[in-house]
Order: sequence, then C-alpha cells, then structure tokens
Amino acid sequence: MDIDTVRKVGREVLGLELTESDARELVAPLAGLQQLIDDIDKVRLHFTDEPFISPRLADAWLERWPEP
Amino acid sequence: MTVDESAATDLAAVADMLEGGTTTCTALVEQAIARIERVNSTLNAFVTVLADSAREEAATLDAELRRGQRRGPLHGVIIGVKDIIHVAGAPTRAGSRSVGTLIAQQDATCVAHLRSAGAIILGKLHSHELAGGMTSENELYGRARNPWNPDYIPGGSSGGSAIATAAGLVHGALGTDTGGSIRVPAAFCGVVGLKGTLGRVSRSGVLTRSWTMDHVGTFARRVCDAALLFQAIAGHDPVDPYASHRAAPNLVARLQGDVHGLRVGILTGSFFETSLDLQIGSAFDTAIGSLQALGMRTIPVRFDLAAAAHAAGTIITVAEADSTQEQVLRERPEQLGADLRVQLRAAEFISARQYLHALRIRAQVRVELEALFRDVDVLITPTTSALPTRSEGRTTPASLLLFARNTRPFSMAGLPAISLPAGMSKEGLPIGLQVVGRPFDELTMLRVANAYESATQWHTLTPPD
Repeated sequence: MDIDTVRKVGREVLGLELTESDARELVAPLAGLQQLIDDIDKVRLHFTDEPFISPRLADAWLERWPEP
Repeated sequence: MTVDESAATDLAAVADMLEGGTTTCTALVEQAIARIERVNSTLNAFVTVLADSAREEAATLDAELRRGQRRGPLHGVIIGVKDIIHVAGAPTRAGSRSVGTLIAQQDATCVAHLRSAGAIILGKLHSHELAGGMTSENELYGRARNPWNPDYIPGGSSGGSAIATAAGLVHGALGTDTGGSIRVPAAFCGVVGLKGTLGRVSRSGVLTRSWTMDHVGTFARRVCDAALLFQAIAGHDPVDPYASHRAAPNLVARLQGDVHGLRVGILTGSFFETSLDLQIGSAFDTAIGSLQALGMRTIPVRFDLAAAAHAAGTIITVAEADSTQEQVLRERPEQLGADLRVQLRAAEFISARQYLHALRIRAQVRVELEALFRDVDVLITPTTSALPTRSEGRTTPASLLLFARNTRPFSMAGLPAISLPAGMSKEGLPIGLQVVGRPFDELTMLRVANAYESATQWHTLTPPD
C-alpha cells in the first residue's frame, strides 16, 4: 500500500484519521505484515481446525460461572 | 563470596554458605546493591532498586536462619523482576510512559511464590516497552546494554533480566516470553532462560501483551538454578483462567537422569537454514557433536509449518497487543514510543479473518508437532539465527521478525523451551542453544540441557567487569 492507500483504508475501513507522516511510517511495516499474511494464507485450513487459545480456558470459564 | 561470584557457581553453593554461616542474607543484599551502584549506570538493567524492602527481607530471613529455620533452597537468593510483573509496593511501568505510575498493591502470583520460598526481591528490571520488542531500548528507561559489549543490544523484551543475571547483580530473575522474550535475551547475554508449557506458570499480576501467547519464566546462570526457580513459580492458580490445573513438577530432584539414547530432533529445512549466521551455525554443529558424545541420538526432522507458525504467531501477538493498547493508541498515542506505536498501528490493519486464520493454524501446528514428537524426545535449534546487533535506538519490524524466528513457532504451539549458552562469536558475543520439549515434559528438556551444560564450559564464562 502506498501512502494514499494507507490513509484511505485507515479512514474508510478502520475509522483512523492518519496524517501523511503517520501513513508514511506505516508503509514498510504494512508491507512486512502483508508477507506474513501471505505466509498464513498458504495454509489451507480444515473445517475442524478450531482456534487454539488455551487448553484450560474454556473449562475455567465454565467452572467460574456464578451459581444462580 | 559475593552475589556475582556465587551466581557463577550455583544456588546450592549459596545455600551452603548461608547454612554454614560464612555469609548472611544481609551481606548478600549489601553486596548486590554495591554492585548495582557500580555497574548499573552502564548496563541499565535495574530500573527500580528496592533497597529498603530487600534489607528488611534479608533481616527477617537471617533471623529465621539463626533460629534454625530454613524455608528451602531459595532461602536468601537475590532475585530481580521484569518491570511488567507486579511487586507489591513498587511501581510497574513496563517501560512505557502510557502506564503512568502504577504502584502494585500486591505481588504477582509468581513473585509471591518466590517470596514465600525465601527469595529476596531486589528490584525491577528493564523491559522493552510493554514487552513489545527485542532491543530493550525505550523512551522511558533509555537503552539497556549487553554486558559483553555495551555497544550491542542485550535482546529483549526481558533484557534487564538477562543482563542482571549475566552481570551477577542477582542470582536469578523473572521474565516473560511471548515469542522469544526470555530465550532471545538469554542467548544474547550468555545465560539460561527457561519458559515452560503454556499455562504452567500463572500470569496473574503480569501485564498482558498477548493473552494466548504470554508465558512467565526464569533466568539463571545454570540450568539447575533456572529449573529450581521455575519449580517454585509453577503450578495452578485459580485466579488465572489460562493456568493449567497440573501441580508444579518436581524437576530438580530428577534433573540428573540418564540421557543416553534420548532422541534429539535437529530441525532442518529452508526456514531454519537460509538466514542462519555462519558462526551460529558452526556453534550449533559443535553442540550437536557434544550431544552425540553424551550418547544421545540426533535425528534430522522437518517442521513444514515452521514459517507459517512464525507468521501466525507474529500476527496473533501484534493483533492481541493492539487490542490491549487500543485505548492508548486512539486517545494518547504520543505516550507510546515510535517503534511500538507503528507496530500497533500496523496491527490495526489485520482483519478478523486474518487473526482467526492465524489462531486456527495453531491447531495444525500442534498436530504437526505432535506427530514429530513421536519420533524424538526433544527438538533443538540455535536460539537465534542472528547475532546481537549494534544498538540502533529502536526496534525495526525486521529485527522483531529476525530475532524471534527460531523461538516464536514453539511459543505459538505452547511448548516448553530453554536457551542455554553454547558458544561465543569472534566478536565476543554469546550464542545460545534452544532445547524444546513436549507439552508438560519440561523434565526431559531440562535433562538434555543440563547434560549439555555439564559437558561444556560455556556457562562458566562471565562478561568483562
């Protein structure tokens, strides 16, 4: 993304009003981020690949649910 | 014997000296404070020295010893704590002007465990801003320096913990590791850095960078000491919903177990080989030879999802970090350093689909690693593929990716991992070896690391004074 596109996406998609200087310093990091996104998009997901967060988290939340 | 000298041996020697009456907790604290006064202006490891409370704790512990009471092997051990972990009565600033002056009302669970085991908390240690980088340079504290050569970065984000341990300011330290923030500075500063399985150590009282990736762990000069400290902080904590229900493992008593015949996986393939520094590669080859000489079987293995794991781990981390700092970024971005502000702003461009895709890849990474661990007992890699660089004044996105290249894939899978000294570059900078274990099998990983350490001399080297 060039500076104008960064500002446009920021404003129209994310609700961020970025100055030209803000947008300029984001160009290189966003290019790096796009490479990472390309890397993960190469991985075909299966329907059963659920987001792994923590093996404990779901149980713990249920255990801590307040009694009625 | 001073803290510096005793830290270079092991904590058992400290215990012997205290028990034999050849030193006292008070003397150890005074020696450590004197050393901090002498070298910290150069190294910038300590950002808060808790001299008064440390002296009070030392007096209490000395009185207990005089009564014949000893809390255990950590009685009188001097500890520093990364400044994103709460220590009661001390400010937690996390290297960021955005945090303000937050005085912790109570200890983090890990600190409370160490304190009750008899450790003395001497102060708070430098952290890269909000644990969000690997150079340990920020606008609040300034630049932390590598004790082997102050022109070079110490690594991060737990840079202060690694420096303080290497420079003999403490016997050990606490740090946190999201993608390599314990192991990378440990490697760069020539000490041992240990993180356990995801959930092994409570994160209650620790500021969050990434809910699903953060680990708390330990630093020491010896594998056995890092394990001793780790054993004291591990275990279930009902306050932390991410904490495992498993009891703290007894690691130290079984550390000397037989390693003959253990299967050591050597990760091969372009991800681990293409960007590898030649000196690090050479040190790694020598380390493989040492493990073989100890009777371990080394087996080349492939981790095909490594690049995707690294990418997904980075996306998860920065997206979650952006969410934790959302208000600061929107309402008072000027309170964030330039490098972190840009990192978090860029993360705002990650879509929900991309974040979830990264989280779902974790499931595939786990499946691949589970299959891989059917054929091996541990995996090894160089801790970093690059040597520490000269200080540039800020973390670049490229350095964030490069330094964590070999560590982040295992963080995102939640596996236990340790870095230990395994060489020196011709520039006189340390090189680290990473050993990775199966989930909740820290013991086998530590046995391999301990055996390697016992067969080599790298851990005996200390930075120039």
